[in-house]
Amino acid sequence: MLQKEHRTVFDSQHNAISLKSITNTILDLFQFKYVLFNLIGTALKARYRRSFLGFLWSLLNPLFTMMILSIVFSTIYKLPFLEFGLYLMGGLLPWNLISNGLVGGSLAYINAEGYLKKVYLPKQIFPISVLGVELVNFSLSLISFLIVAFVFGARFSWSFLLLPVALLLLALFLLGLMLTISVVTVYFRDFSHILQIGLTGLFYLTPVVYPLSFVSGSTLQRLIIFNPFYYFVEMFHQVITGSGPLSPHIWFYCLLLSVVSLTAGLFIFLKKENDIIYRL
Amino acid sequence: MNNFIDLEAVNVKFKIYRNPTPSLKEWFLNRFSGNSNRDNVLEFYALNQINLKIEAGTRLGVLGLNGAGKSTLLKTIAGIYYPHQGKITISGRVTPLMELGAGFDAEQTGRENIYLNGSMLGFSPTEMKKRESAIEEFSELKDFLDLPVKYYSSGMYGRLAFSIATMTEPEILLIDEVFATGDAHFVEKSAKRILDLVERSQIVIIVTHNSQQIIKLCNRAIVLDKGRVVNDGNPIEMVNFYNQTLVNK
Repeated sequence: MLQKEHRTVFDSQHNAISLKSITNTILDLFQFKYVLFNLIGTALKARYRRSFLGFLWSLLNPLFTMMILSIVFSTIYKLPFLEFGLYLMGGLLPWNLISNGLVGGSLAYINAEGYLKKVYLPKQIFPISVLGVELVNFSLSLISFLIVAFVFGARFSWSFLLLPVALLLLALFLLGLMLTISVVTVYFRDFSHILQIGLTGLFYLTPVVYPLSFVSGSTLQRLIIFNPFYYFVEMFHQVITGSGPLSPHIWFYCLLLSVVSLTAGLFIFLKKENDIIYRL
Repeated sequence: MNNFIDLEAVNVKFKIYRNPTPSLKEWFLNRFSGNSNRDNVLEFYALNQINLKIEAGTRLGVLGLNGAGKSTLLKTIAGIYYPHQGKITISGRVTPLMELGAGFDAEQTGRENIYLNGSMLGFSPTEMKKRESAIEEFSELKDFLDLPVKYYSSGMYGRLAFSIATMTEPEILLIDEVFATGDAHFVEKSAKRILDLVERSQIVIIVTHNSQQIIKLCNRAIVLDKGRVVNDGNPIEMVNFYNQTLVNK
């Protein structure tokens, strides 16, 4: 632990946003990586503590959800069970990641008040650890879902190889949003409640439990175009259902949205990171 | 290595909001009724134009009444509060000995918390592994170490926290009233440990209401009043000054 020279400067004059402050945000994360891993590990353990099946639940939960929803909706819509099941979970898994990530992210600093007021830690650790927890859950669910899908007779599709790319784009998009809303909630606590209602609305504005073709030509479809989450869910649909060609414009919009969201998130975070402590 | 702490005209401002987080309704009402929430905000300087140079070898005692800004000063040096004005330059690794057990997770076992807490102090799991047995021994927790810390008595909690926090090689040590934890036996043991740490550190800053401790441990003292440094010098003189001008006013 003996470092060459450990120098810290807190200067009220030079905390403007610059390339250097952005690099520092990332470097700090490396320096405190064990805290990040510990926070993620602790949160994951807490989720399954004292349950008999433990981590298996993150595998079983999506499995049963998929069975129930697939049976219900393939009966209502009279669509083939497996095909609709793939479509449904292909949308529901990323949607859950979005929704859990945003709700958790909005409370990131508020739940970490005990840490923030007592020990020095880089603030970005808290929203990022929330994202980390949700990414681990997402990955476990996805793997169990794919196994089940193969058992039910789904075929391997080359498009699965794009899953990591799709996940990376979504993770960066979410990170930007979470950096933003975690700060917003510190100043307006009502925001986390508004967010939850907003997400309920947005769920139906995203084609998850219905195929987009069901609403073509309606007002709903015209609204859906303005829902940024639609593009990400659609991206996962294309990868997971493996049917039809990939549409490059969807991927392009996702990339664009990720860049915009991450830039805005970093900007707001750097602007407010030193003030958060005074508002908790 | 040349360790130092340099505070230049440092201000830390606290805003006390009668209503810290207005609901949206209140926020809009305040915005548009012209009745700005200005009168709801009480602003005060917890640290006011602090200039302080601390060189290697200094054992600095901080004296002051409750609310004079002693703990805020330590927390600002530790990086918890960011100065609103001014500049702080610190050369050396800061080890805070305040708010013991701040980073504990109640659901985790004592052993797991050794690693969690260690990571917050800047140590990797490998580095904590080397310290684990020493912490186990010093804390005298024995079998309790593998129980979640929520089942600990407050004495046990304090013992574990103290053992972790003092199992480091500090360059700059910040101590905020953490002299007594646990039973008489442990208090004596921890007092010895503190002395040892103070001796090994390059710079020590001690906040305590116990003037004798400052006279015993420090070679320099400052007196804080309402966020300002009102006097700075030899510990015995400062304790006398503090008692005459502030305590027995």
